[in-house]
Amino acid sequence: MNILGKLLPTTIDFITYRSFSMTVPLYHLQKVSRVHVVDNSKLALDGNVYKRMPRIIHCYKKNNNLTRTRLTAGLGDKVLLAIKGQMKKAIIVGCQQRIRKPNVPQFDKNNVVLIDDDGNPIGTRILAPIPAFFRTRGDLAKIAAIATTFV
Amino acid sequence: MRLETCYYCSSTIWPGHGIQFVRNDCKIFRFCRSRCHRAFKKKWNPRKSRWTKAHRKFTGKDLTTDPTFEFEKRRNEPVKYDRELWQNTLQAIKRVEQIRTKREGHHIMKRLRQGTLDRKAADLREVRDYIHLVRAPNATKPMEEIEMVQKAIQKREEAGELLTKIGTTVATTKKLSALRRRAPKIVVTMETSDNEQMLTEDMA
Repeated sequence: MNILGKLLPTTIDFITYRSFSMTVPLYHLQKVSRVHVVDNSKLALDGNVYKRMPRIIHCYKKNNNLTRTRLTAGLGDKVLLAIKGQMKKAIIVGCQQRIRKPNVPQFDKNNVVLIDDDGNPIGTRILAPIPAFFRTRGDLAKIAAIATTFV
Repeated sequence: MRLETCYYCSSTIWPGHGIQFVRNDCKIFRFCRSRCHRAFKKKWNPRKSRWTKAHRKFTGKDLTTDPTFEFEKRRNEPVKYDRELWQNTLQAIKRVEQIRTKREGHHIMKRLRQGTLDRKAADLREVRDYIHLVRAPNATKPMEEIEMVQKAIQKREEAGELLTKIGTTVATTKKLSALRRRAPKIVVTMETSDNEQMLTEDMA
């Protein structure tokens, strides 16, 4: 995945049933970023196979200097996704970006977990490993509760 | 704090170093430096990169199977804290590491020693095969000289073989010492050819 992201902006047949243009990677997650949902909820399972990959439409991030930088999101941030024609909130659970903090790994894909408006996860299990600091942060405790493995 | 090992080169990763990569199947890859990380991204097989420990173990250059490696395995059972146990373990670690490094060194030396024997044999073969290039330029009976040298080499080889035989009795040691006394030295004399002598005379 990392290697493919470093290719120049051209249209590439990535998988036979899906072709989209891959732009030069900006390593944060922002609007229109394609994302991989790691829930076991029905919407997640359908959304991953839908004609369009789930993408971020909006990042809920406080204290963002909107005039200077793009609205970007990272590990543990809440975002709005467009899945299967619907809008759904989600929390970013894994980044391909190399985050230069100790003991924070980089992941294979940009993983995301769907939540509802109250912040409760929709699915019952998370299939991918989750960074360990999710356990200590209070607002992410609900997701840490349904996680299977921690990194 | 935990010292991890690099997935690619198997060196220890100290805290504050390296990159951790997590695959979605929950497998964690740790790299000690960007060299290893980039090699992994290029999908290189660590067993084929000659500088990695994986390659050395795969090709038998380093010690692989040894009881001293069993001590360092990961045991997923929690142990109740016991001061006695900790202290004993520390002592054991030191001793096991001592033994392990000694054995690893011995393994490498054994391998290298075989190399010196091979090289000696190769040298003897070279002399036997190419002695005709070395004979003196003004030799009157060249074949005789070659035969003499070859006989000398043969006698030397015999002496060598006898030396490697295990369990020398008094008779064989006598034979050995006799051989040693009788084995002629291979002396190659460089005599100037007629042409060269004429040249030097002209110069002088």
